[in-house]
Amino acid sequence: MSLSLFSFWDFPSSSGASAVSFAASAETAVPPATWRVDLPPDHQAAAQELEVYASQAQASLQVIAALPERIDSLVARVQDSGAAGLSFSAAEQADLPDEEADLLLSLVEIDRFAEQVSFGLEERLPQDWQSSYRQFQAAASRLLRSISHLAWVETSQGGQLLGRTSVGWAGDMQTFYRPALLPQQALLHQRSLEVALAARYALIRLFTATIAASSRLSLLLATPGGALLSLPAVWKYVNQILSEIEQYKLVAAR
Amino acid sequence: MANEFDTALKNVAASIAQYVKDASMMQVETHYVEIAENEPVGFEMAKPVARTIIKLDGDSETVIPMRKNEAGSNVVDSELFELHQQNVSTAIDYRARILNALLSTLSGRG
Repeated sequence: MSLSLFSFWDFPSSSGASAVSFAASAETAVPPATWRVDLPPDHQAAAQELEVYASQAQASLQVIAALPERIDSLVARVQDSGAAGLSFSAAEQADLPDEEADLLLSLVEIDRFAEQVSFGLEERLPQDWQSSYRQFQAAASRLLRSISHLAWVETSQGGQLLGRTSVGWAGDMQTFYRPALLPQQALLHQRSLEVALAARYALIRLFTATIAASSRLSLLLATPGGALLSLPAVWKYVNQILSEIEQYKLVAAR
Repeated sequence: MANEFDTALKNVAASIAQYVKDASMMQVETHYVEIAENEPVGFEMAKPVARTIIKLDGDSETVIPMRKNEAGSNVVDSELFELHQQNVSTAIDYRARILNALLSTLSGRG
């Protein structure tokens, strides 16, 4: 995932003991997912930076929340076109947004390929599709593991650690502050925690929304198991939309 | 690949079941820790300042931070307590959102 907001979350892909001394880490053998942000020394600049991230998280959630309606509209549009099944013409309508057009083209390719291969479809998928699917699967696995284990949120300012919160599977939290912290520094970590959890929640919503959208779009496919095959295409589609929203937010914040 | 997808969905379902089970109680703790210059942070030395336990049946328990005032009486350290309360609010909000997100997977509307 290329979105800068989510890039603050590090989801380790390998197991092993944590190198950091932290009592609660004994709860899991899996390295914790960690949100780590280092804010500018100037307090106002630091607070503003966090608000940009908060705004990105909020925008991402709005996009994801609107996804079912957007997918339903796309499905209805194709079904109302009167064509028997998917076709390139469905993706070539002038008023169709680029992201939706690309998605439909991917689905058309899935159907066409499936027509040519009557058996052993999974093994005969083009290499790049298998690769896309594996990428989605890897992202989903890391995400699922991250929400089922401990996660850490660390906030620094000018390289100095302000606070760290461990977030358990069911929302249990332990927050550690350094002493003699200024009230505004404590608030920075508090806000960082809120943003980190909002981003984590957005990632979970992204994952569940992708599965639901794939299931819905499979109505357009003649291919058995279409929901499975369309997962990488839908994952890419949703990420494209989110990237555009994020770019807009970054530009607007300048 | 179909098996992998099935496994992913089963993991989600199992996660939801586990989440609901674990959600019967939530604990939020706030600590402070000395951080020396150029030394690793030793979080095991952290000192607790407040703790809240919330149970699904409505029971809750809070240990609040107190300090002596000039007259020698115990008073609530309102700054620390407010900080802790913000953490509790964040935890409650987070749990509700995650639970809703996981349940929405079952409804098929993601």
